[in-house]
Amino acid sequence: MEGHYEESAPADLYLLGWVNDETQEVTGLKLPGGLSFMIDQDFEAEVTGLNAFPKDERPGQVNAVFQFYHIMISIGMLLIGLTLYASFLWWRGTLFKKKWLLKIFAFSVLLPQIANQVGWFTAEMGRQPWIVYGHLRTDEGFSQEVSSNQVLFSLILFLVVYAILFILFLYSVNKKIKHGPYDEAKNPDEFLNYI
Amino acid sequence: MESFLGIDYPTLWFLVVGLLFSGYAILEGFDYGAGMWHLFFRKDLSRRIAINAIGPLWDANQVWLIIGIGALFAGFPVMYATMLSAMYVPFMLLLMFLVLRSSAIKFRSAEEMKWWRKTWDIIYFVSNTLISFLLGVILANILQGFELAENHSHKGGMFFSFLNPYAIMVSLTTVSLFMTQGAIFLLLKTEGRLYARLTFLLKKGMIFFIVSFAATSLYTLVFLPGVTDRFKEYPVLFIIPVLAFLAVANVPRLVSKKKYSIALIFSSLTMAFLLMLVAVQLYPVLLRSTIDPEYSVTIYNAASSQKSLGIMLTIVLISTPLLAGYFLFLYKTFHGKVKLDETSY
Repeated sequence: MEGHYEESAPADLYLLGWVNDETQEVTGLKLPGGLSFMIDQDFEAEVTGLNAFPKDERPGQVNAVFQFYHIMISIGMLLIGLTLYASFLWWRGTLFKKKWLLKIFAFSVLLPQIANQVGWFTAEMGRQPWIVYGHLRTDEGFSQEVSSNQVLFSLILFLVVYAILFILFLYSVNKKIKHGPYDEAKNPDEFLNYI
Repeated sequence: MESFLGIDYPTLWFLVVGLLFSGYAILEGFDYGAGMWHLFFRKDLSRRIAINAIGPLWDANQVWLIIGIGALFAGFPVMYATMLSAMYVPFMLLLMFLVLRSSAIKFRSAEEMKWWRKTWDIIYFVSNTLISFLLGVILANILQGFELAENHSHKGGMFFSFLNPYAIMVSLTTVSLFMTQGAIFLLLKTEGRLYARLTFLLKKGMIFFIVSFAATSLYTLVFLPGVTDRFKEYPVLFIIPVLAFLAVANVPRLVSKKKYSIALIFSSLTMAFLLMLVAVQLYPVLLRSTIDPEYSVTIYNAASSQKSLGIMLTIVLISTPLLAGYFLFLYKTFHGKVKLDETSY
């Protein structure tokens, strides 16, 4: 997830970056010794790298795993930041005057969903070539009976169904946002219906 | 091999899986059945009442499929893998229709537009019908067996290779049995003109069921070799088909007396006895190989380790009373005729 190939001390933690799989190097914004600290609570500790594993027992797409993981973490941090800032404004009583912030909030409904998906990509791609780590390899795990045509058929089927459901999701979220919050005091029944 | 009450663990787990699938058939039977009558109701209000009759119950009922398949995976992983790989396309279609059906229930009444409701009504009706149909196709194919070669390997086909005449007959029986079950359930939940219309529809449903049931039974006896062997071997098992037949015959009798609650129990018993027939005929085989009995998947060569089965049986012993308690509470809470309010679908 950090694109850490060579065993080294100290190992760095990247906030943003790009992994070059050829040269096995990462370029980007880093926190020196951060990875060492997260693993051993010591900025100088040695961290095992990907090269300690045989090439056929580690994921092929290191950069992709790196990016997906960092997108997830960035979204998480961004949401924490937004919430803290908004809480501060709410405490000062000026939150509802900041229209731009409220606009951002409306769109950040999608962010947890994206974070969820890329986090899943990280777990699945980062685990390759294992399907059960250390026990079963993916190429031994998949069914011998199901043809690629059948898999393609089911993928297209669910792509279509989920695309439709996604559009419906956007439609109903948009409707809920436009409707605005329900006034609890005025109409408790409607409020109950809303939650 | 470890055993409990003189029955070995794989057999006990076979009973657990059978029980879960029977529960699923009985409970979702009236859900899907109610859905298959959907387009037979003309007014929007009737359709809303029909959806809200199953409204608080359908998602709880659906969980029976999940635990059924989960129990199969946990107890008989080889069966799970062989069955889902061999019937990949039917199971994927089943999943898709399950997704569409749930969406239809949730989305249908969310908007007022006529075209919106009409589209979801059609999706709802088609999904319910095809789910029931596919369940029948799957059951029929399990009864007929597969060309399982060594290692239980089988080249599964696309959808149409599963649609032989027998599969269609079993599917029609499933559809009609669910429709009967659904109509009886809706009669308990409705009143007025919808109730009157349902008494009429139920009669059609029962005729449909009895015709397809008779045809399928006859076909099974004539064309499925060895289907009666188990019963010749143990004549005492003849009690099951006799009970199944009595349950089937009892439904129209109770319906004509307007005793719908008891009729619902007997149409549920019909499903239970019919599935019991299937189980007795199959045991200890789960998937029969038509090439060589050696290659069949049985409860012994498909089972997980004795230790896993032991742990899971303990879980079943603990959770069954909880589950039963929850369902009693749920059905008691939503007992009686449907009243639409703000929170309805």
